[in-house]
Amino acid sequence: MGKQLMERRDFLKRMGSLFLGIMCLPFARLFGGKEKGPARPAPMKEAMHYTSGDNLAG
Amino acid sequence: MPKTIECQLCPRACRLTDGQRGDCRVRIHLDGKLQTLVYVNPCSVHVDPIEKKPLFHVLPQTGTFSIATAGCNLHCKFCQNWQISQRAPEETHNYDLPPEKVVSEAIRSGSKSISYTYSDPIVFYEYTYDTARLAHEKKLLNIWVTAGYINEKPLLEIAPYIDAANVDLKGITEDYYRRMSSATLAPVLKALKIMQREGIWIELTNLVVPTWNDSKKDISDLCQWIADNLGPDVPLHFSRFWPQHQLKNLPPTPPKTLSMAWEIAKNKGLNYVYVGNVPGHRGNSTFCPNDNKLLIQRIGYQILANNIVDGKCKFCQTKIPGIWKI
Repeated sequence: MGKQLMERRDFLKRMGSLFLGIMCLPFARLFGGKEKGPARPAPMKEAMHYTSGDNLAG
Repeated sequence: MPKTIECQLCPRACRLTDGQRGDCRVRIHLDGKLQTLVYVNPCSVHVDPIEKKPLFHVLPQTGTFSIATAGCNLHCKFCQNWQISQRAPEETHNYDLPPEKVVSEAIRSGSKSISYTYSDPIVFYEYTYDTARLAHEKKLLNIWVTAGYINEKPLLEIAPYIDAANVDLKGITEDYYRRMSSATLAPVLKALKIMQREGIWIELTNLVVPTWNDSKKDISDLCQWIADNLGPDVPLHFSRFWPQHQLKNLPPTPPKTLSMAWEIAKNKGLNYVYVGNVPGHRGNSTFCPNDNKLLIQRIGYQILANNIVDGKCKFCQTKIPGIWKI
């Protein structure tokens, strides 16, 4: 009987830990690293040293 | 609107139709104009010891405010900065740092120079150009760390604002540049001569890669070219390769190979030859070419002793080339 109780208690502990972990997942995003993703596009600046094109040879 | 644009910044001479980017990933043809995608947006910002560039003959033991953007016009198989150099700017995390802010932050950090580095400043040319001009107004030096793969006209235009450069001389054959870096050698050799002629202090770095460019002939020919074309006072840094990027199958360069390279360079008459990434090697330090006295003793980036006074050997008064003060 005591052994059954202990096994049941261990099972409930494991299930409880699993449930707690799932519940905490949304909060992990709040404290996690900065999301990577496309950087804000840089402001455009005209480049130096180029030539345009319809007269390009070859 | 022109159908094609040719970028004339580097020898690749990318021809771009509307919407197309150059090989470097950071210049794009939009509506008839070539635009840079990385102006004021570096992805790397650090304060480094100047010795890390490596520059051993410029303002020893000072900090240099170092910036880089994404992109590069070479594709070296051994690149240790490939996470930014072989990336487009939308793939990196970037900062907003206009030229005036680069300068003010450099001053605030106590740096004596700004280094345009990590990837290759040639591809963020406009950002470098505008920042470098402001830096000079504030008495900061400008340092390029570059592969030197640039056309003559843009090099001549920016040269007045660049005080010192560490330039990779990766090998001495066209075949090596093609296979290792998807580039060509001749423009780099030309750029080196122009830089020296325009008064830019240059130090060279050769990364010695096992089985690729580590033969006695390769090293000998490289040193001979330097001696014949740039002179014996241009410092040469032999750097140790570590497995990276597309060459993880190779071992690190054995220290004895670097020692061999150092000997060859000294026998070719080069006065200032250094060995990087091998702590304790004689090539970490600077010696007077006249009386062989220890001038600057280094361990890693730390200087333990400095016997250069007013740009001369303290012992025999031989002038030691470099930029020793602003």
